[in-house]
Amino acid sequence: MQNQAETTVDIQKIAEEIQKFNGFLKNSEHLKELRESARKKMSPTPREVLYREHSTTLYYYPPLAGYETRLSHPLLIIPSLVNKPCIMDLMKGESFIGAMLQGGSSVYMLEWGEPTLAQSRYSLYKYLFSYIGRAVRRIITHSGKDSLNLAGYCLGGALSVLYSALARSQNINSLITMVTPVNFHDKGLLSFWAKEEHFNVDKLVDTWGNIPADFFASCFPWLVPTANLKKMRMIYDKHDNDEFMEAFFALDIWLTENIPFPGEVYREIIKQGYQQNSLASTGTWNFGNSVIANLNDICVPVLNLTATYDHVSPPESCSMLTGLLKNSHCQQRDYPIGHLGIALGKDAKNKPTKEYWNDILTFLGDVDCWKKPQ
Amino acid sequence: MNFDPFSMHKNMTQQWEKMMGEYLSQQVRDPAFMQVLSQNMQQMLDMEQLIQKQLQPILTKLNLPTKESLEKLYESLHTLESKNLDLEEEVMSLKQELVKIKSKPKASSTKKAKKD
Repeated sequence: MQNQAETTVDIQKIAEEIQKFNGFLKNSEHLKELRESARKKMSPTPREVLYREHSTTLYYYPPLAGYETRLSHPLLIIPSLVNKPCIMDLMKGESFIGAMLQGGSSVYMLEWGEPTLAQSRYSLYKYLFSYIGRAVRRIITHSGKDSLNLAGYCLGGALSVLYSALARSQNINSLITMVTPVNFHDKGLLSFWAKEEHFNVDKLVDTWGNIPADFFASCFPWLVPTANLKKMRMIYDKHDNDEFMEAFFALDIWLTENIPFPGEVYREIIKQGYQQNSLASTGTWNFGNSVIANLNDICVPVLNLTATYDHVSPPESCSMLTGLLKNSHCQQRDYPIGHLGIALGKDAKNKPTKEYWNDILTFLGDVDCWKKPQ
Repeated sequence: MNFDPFSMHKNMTQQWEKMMGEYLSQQVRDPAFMQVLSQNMQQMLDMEQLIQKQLQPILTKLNLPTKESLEKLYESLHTLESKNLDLEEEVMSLKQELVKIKSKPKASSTKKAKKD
């Protein structure tokens, strides 16, 4: 009798699972619609184009209705070159830009866009000096302020650091680096893949010019090999939760729709960053023709944010910046989250939190009255 | 205890996924695997370079633009666009100067008024 009881099949559960599977099949068209509706809801914060130059666009985000601009220095966001910048303004409630506006900062963002054929030959120096340089000048004129706060995400953080060093902190009030890799010889997979013995970056750039988006789309999933399987399971489990699925699709659209990477800039970052580890070993970056960015030239307050479970920019790669900045007061915060937690305002359990955004706003408030030593 | 084939399947796939994840993570960190991948990539790029080399004279003969000619065209457009933005910036700074200058005569006109 006991054995018979152990082998009883739970008919109720089977019926529920079959019903769930049928529901999933019926829902597949609705899921496609949800993906498209998620796309329409991305980048919800109203913005104005200040100017376009080649593939780049400088956006200005006017103050939101009901929120005052209380911070005197504007904030310029520099996103990564690999993905579209909509991660900084993904959806309502998951918007870093929205949170900064609500916190009383005026916000600008430089979108890199898809590089043209000619841009494949532009150096990293041109990207920093011409594109970020112009954005800084324009914001100074547009806002009527003499300096701005510079915030970079992922590789955009590294570009912000290099620009600040190159410009000797001119027109910069403070620097915020979010999950910014500085030590490229870390334990991460990207660092291993980019080793000189595995990776002939010269041949890649000489053949392709700009590095196609497909190249990144095929590489990044290997950072977490089972991520795609988890994604499928998630869709199956949560397919009847429209609100969840929309947020899920918005993130998936961002993740899977990479943009091409400017070729020469890629060559420089791989060689001098990943292969020579120039910033971490010497605190400098050589742009050629005797132009050198020296981290000692950064003399503004810095907030360095790292994420413990980041597999793209491992924390040991990001935290090194704090020690490298000898002439600036650098605060570091480590959060127990993944690579996107700070941009999305979500903790390790994917629950919304304003902790990171509030920390940034507190920092911006603190440095608002700060005066650069002459 | 009830037998639940769905839970059993779920557990099995989770176990498999975990094992596969660990195995693949090891593979992508294996220098031998990377060497093969690197060789494949080199060959693919060789092939692409060869195709580009073969295509170039054909495009030239057909009077069609090559990658290089398009690059040059883009470069010219970029230079124009940047020059335009530079001029725009100069106009903006001149306008600001003008505003400053316009606000100055007030002081000189009051001096004149005093003299009169």
